[in-house]
Amino acid sequence: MTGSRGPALDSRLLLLPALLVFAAFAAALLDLLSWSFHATGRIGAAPSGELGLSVYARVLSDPLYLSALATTLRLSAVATAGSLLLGLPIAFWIVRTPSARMRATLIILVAVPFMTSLIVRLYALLLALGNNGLVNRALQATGVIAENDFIPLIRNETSVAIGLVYFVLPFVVFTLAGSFKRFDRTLEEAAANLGADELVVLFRVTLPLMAPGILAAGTLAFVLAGTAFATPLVLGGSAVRMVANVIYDQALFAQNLPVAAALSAVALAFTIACLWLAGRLGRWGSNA
Amino acid sequence: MARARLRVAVGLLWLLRIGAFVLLFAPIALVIAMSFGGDAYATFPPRSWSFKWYLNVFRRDEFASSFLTSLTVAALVTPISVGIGTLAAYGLWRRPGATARALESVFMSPVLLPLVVTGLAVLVFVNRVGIGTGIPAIVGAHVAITFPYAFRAVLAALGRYDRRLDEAAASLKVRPFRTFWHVTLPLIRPGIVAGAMFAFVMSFDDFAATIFLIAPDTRTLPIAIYQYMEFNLDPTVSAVSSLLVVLATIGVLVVERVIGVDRFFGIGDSTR
Repeated sequence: MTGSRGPALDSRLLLLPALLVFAAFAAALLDLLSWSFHATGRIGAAPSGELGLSVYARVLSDPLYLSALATTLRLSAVATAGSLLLGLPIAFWIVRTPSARMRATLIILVAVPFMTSLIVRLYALLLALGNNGLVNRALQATGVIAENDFIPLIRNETSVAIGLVYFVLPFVVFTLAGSFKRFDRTLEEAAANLGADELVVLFRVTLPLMAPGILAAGTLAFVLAGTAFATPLVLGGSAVRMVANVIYDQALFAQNLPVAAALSAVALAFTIACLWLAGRLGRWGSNA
Repeated sequence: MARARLRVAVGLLWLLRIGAFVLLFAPIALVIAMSFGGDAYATFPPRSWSFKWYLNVFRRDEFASSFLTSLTVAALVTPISVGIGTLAAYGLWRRPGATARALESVFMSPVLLPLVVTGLAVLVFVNRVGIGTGIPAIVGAHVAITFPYAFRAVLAALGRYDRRLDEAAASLKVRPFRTFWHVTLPLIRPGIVAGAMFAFVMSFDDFAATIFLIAPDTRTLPIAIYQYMEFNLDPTVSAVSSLLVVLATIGVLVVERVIGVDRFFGIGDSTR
């Protein structure tokens, strides 16, 4: 490190700590995944049972696991659509406001919830959506529902969907705003000069130009929601189980490490497949 | 006709903006209001007002001790992740090429992993090598989670760094390490600070990976909050939450002062 050796050797030494961390981590991950090829095993004991793909066959045929997979896909799709719907107008606002102070203020307003501990935000949402929470009190006060009535908004898919939108919204806003920042306004001005009204410009020029950013933000939202753990745990309880929750339960409570490992492989494959598909879509879009 | 359509569209745009900020802030405002409620369980609106839940936060050992655990973990994770990430980014930046690009993907790849998978993999690993759960296991998992972000922040800062400065230093026979320390490091400091802040916050807040690695006497603050709210309905959690909202706000304002929020969150620094 004193620079007395050749620069080539130096550069490789600089990479050594990162390579060691990566190697240890990769070894741990491969070890975990190897459990999915054994029939039985629990934490603290060596994997046992015959080798094979029987665990995968079990995971992909058991209604319990299949329904967790379906719930995960369904809620991730809802969270992606919801967060894009709410995130686009804010991201648009951030990059289009002429005032630097306004831009900083908007970013700070999104950043404060973003930097607040997730568990705190989920607890806050639990208070807002609970049977005696803010939403139900407001509905009672406005006469939408009876005084002693309530709409069940927690421990169901509604609350988890709202929670997932809440969780991924700041990620979506920052990803969108980051990709819109270098956006060239010449085409919009040209379209306007040629007589297109604002809505035509928005839908025919602006949004297509923003498509790569929307695709990136949507992919991130889908992957984050699809692997979410704390949100369904706090807001869904035992009523809504997503894949990450089943992994946790199987590993620590059911002591069924092979199933937890197989579901981990499924979750990892899900993430990689989403990113690969988004990459393909992006390339296809830019060629079209 | 076109005017009316436009008015509807603009109205919808503002409705969505208001909806988004209500979703982001109404729960937080509610939690702060509830933390001053005097009732023993969370009712809205509170029937009386009190500071006693804030006293309870400091009286109950679980929050103070888990806060210290979280602080310890984040204080260990941040320098490790930033150190490893900075060295790796600098090493790759100095020798660009196909190998460097491939290694960049390798170092970024841990971000693909769902946090529960990271937590479970580290749990199986520490059981196998005999370390067991606790602070070392949590620190290890958090380094794996945070170091790609520190690496990327430093790499981005190096992308803005002028290579000719290194050539100038080399032509003056300055040793590479001295060049790094006196020229490169000060210029990429914003990237390093951003990486450090990301690492610290992610480590301090992590729940999904950490829950696999807590020991009976070692748990972090997010876990303690979760466990408390599982069994208690009183507003103590609201008081802890309000304190954490204040901390997050201070953190964001510090980021704005030191780096600028637009650059920190990757929204560009066109105005700076």
